[in-house]
Amino acid sequence: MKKYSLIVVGGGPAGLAAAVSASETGIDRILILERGRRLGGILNQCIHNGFGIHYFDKELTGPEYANRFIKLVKRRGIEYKTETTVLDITGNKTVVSINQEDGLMELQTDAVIFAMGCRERPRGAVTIPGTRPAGIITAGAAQKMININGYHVGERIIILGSGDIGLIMARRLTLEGKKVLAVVERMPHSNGLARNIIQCLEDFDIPLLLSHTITEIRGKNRVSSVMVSAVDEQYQPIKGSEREYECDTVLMSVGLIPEIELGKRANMLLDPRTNGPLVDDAMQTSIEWVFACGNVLHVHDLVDYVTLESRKTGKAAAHYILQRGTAEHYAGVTYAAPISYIVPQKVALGEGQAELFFRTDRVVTNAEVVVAGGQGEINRIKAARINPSEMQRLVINKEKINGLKPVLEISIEGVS
Amino acid sequence: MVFKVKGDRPVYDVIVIGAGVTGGFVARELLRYKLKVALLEKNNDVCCEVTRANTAIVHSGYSAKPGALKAGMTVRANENFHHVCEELQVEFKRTGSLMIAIGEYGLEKIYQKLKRGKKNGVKGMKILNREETLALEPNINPEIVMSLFVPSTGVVNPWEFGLAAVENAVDNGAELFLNTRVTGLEKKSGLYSVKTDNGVFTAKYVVNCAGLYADEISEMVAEPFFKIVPRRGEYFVLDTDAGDHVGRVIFQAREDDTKGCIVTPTVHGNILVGPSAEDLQDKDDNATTQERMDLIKSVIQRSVVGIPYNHVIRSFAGIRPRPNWVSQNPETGDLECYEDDVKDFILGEPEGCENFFNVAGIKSPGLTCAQEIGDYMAGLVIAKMQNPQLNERFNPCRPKKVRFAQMSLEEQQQLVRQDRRYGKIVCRCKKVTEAEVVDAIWRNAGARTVDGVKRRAGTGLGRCQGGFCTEEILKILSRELGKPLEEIEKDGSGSYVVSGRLK
Repeated sequence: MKKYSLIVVGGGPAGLAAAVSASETGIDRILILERGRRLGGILNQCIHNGFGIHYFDKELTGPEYANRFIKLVKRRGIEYKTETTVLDITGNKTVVSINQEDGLMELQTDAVIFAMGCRERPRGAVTIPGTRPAGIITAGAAQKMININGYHVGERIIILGSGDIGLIMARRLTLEGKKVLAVVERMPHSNGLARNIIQCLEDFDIPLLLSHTITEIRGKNRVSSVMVSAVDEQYQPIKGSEREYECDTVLMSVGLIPEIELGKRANMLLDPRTNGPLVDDAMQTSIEWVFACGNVLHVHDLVDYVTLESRKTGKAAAHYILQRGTAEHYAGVTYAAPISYIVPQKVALGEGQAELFFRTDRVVTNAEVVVAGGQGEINRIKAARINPSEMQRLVINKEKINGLKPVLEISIEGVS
Repeated sequence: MVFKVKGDRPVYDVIVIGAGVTGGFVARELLRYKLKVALLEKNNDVCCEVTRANTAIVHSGYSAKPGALKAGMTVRANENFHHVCEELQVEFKRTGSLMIAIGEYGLEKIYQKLKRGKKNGVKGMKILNREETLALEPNINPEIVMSLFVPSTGVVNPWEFGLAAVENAVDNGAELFLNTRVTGLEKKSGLYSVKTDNGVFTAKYVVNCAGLYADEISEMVAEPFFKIVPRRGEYFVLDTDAGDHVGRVIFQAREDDTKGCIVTPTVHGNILVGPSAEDLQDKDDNATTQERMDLIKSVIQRSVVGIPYNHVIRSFAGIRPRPNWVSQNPETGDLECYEDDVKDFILGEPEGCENFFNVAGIKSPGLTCAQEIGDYMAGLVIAKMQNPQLNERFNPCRPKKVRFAQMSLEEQQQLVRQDRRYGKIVCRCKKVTEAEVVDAIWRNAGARTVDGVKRRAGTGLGRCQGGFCTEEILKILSRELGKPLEEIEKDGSGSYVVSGRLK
C-alpha cells in the first residue's frame, strides 16, 4: 500500500492552494484526488472574468486563475489523479478511492484535507408546486452544459434565486442570444454581489424581482410557463399578485451546500448553520487528521478568499504532519442574529492572530461589530453596511482571549 | 425490443395492452406457456404512470373485505413477495407497519381491521398499547391510544418491481412495442384486431392492463360498465439524513376507511410522506399543489410528529385508478356513477366479449398483488385454450444486477478489474458506476431516457437530484444509442434537455 503524507480530496481552487502551501511548508508525498476530468474544479466552467482582484491584483478568468495554481502544482511535482472518486475515509487514516486506471485504491496517509467544494440546492429542496417537466436546471449545471459541453439549455429562461452563478448565467445566456425574462428573488435583497447585479442584470436590462417567488411550474414534458407572485414579509405569496411568464427553462440559483458527504460518513462533527465541518482556526476538523477548506467548509463569496483560507489550511496540515505541536485549549466562538454563521467555530488559545469569517442574514447598516472574550470587550469595529452576500473578516489578537472564561463573543450592536 | 415496425405482423396469441406493473406480470405469467405475446405501451418507456408514482407499500391484507379476490391475493402475494423479489432482483424490505388509533373511533377501527385481517389469514397481528407503540416508534404522536402492529407489511421499489416484470417477460419472449397507443379494437372472424398509432396488431386474446385508461379500452369492445376516476395523491420525499424518523409503515385509522396519509421508509433509506387524495377530471394531471402539500403536513401530525420538512428533496404526485360502477340512466340515457365505488379488482371478460379480458381498477393493493393478478389472468386465458403447452425454457429470474455501492471492497475491486467502467462513478450521491448505467440501457426493455436510467440504475435519486450526473447520463445515452444529445429526452416524449448546440 502506497503511503502519503497528505491526501487532498478535490482539485479545485481550495485543494490546489492547500496542496501548494503544504508543499511549500516542507511536505512531499502529497496526492490530490480530483473527480473531474482535469484539475481546476468549478473554475474551469467560469469563463467570465473577475477572479483574482484581491489575490493577484489582476482580473482573470476562472480557467486562468486555476491555471496559475495548476502550474505551481506541476512545478512542485505534486502528484494528482483525475477522474478519481473518493468513496470513504476510514479510522486508520486510509482514503478509499476509485478510478478506471488503478481500480479501487486504499491509500494510507498522515493527514487529509477536505476540499470538495459545494453543490447546488435542487428544486426539490424548495418544493415549488406544479409539474415536473424537463427544463428545470440548476445554474451551475447550465453553466457547465453551455461553457464546457457547448449545448444550449433553453430559449426563454426565468431564473429563480439571485445567487452569483444565476446572475452570471443571466448575462451568459443573453450574450448567447437567449431571452432571460427575469431573476426572481424571494428575499428583499439579492444574494449576489453588487458588482454582478450591475454588470450582469442592469447592463442588460434584465429585471430583478425582489420579494417575489415562483409559485407554480407548468408544462407536461418541457416547461411551458411559470407563475410568479410577490411575497409578504413572511415570504408567503400575496394573492392576486400572480403573473404568468411563458418560458421553456427555469434556472435554479437557490443556494449552495457544502459537499461534506465523506465527513458525514466518517461521523465528523458538522455546523448546522454552515452545513460544513466544525473547525478550529487551523481548519482542523473533529477528526484530528482531517482538515477542511474552501466551499466544503462554508460557501465563500470570492475565490480569492478560498485561496487565502486554503493556503492557511495547507500550512496548518503540514505543521500537523511535522508534529509541530497541537493546541490543547480552545475558546468557543458564540454569536447571535443577525450574524448567520462564523467560521472557525473555535479558536486555539495561545499566541498570534485568529482570522474569523462571518455572514449576516440581512442587510445591516450603521452598526458596530463587537468582539468580546474572557474579560470583556476586545474590539469594536464600525460597519457602515454589511451585505449578506459578502463574507466579513475579523482578525483577533489571541492574547486578548484570556481569563477564566475562554469564549469569543461576536455580536452586532445598533441594528435597526 | 422492436420499435415502430410497420407492415405485416404475425398473429399473436395474446396482446397485453399497457406495460405497467400489471401488464408486465400478466405477460410474464403467460410466458410460462409457449405463447406469442405482444406488450403494447403508449409511452416512450414502460411503467411510467401508476406504477411509477405510488406509496410503494407491500400490504399485508387486513383491509380487503373477506371473500373479495383482493383479500386472498394480498395475503398470498405478501407471503410470496420475497420470493418474487429474489427471482427478479428487486429491493424489498419487510419493515412491518403500525396503524395508529387516536380516540374512541380509532380504537374501534383497529379492532375491526384486526378482525378482518384474521379472517383474511394475515399472520402475527398484534394490538399494542401506547407505551409499546412509542417504544417501537418514538416519533409517533404521543396522543395515540393504541396501534395495530402487522409484521408482514413491507416496502418495495415500485418502479423496479414493474420494470423487472416487463424485462423478465421480454427475456422470455414477449415482444414489447413502445410508443404504441391503442386507438381501436375490433373482432373479426375470431381474432381481435388492435389498431394503434403504430399499425395494426392481431391476436386471439387481448388483456387490457391500461391502468388509468382501462375503461376507455374496455369500451372499445364492451358496453360501459365502469369508469376510472383519476385520484391524485401528492407526496414528499425526505433525504436519507432523515431516514430513521420512522422504521415502519405508519398508517392512520381513519373514519373514511381510506388508507389516508402515510409515513413510510423507502427501500432506498428515504422517508415518504403522503398521499393526499383528490379526484380529478384529467388522467394526466400529476402536478403538485401548495394546498395539498400543506394539507398533508397538517393531516400527518395526527400520526407522526416532528417530520423534518427541511430535509425534503423532492415532491411528486401520482394518479391512482379508482374504479366506479356505471349504468345508463333510463330517462336521460346518460351514464351515471354509482355512489359506492368498486370494492374489488375488475378481472375477467366483460359480458359478451369472449377472449377479451379486463384487468381494471388496480389501485391499492395493486402493486402488492401484481404477480398474483398476472398469475390469475394467465390462468383465465390459458383455460380458454385448446392445448396449452408449458414453456420449458421459461426463466423466472432476471440476469444478475450489480449494485456497486452495496458491495464489499474486494468485490468492487474485482469488478473494476473485469470491466473498467465500474471505476467511473457517475452518480456521486448514490455511487452508481458507468457500467451500471450502460447495463440499464442494454437490458431488455432498457432505458432510453434520463429518467429511464434513474428508475433502473438509481442515478439522480440522491440529495443533488441529478444536478451533477444528468449531464453524464445524457452523454452516455447519446453515445450508447448513437443519437445526438439534443434528441435525448429527460422523460416523456418531448422532454428534451438541451435545445441545441452553441455556434
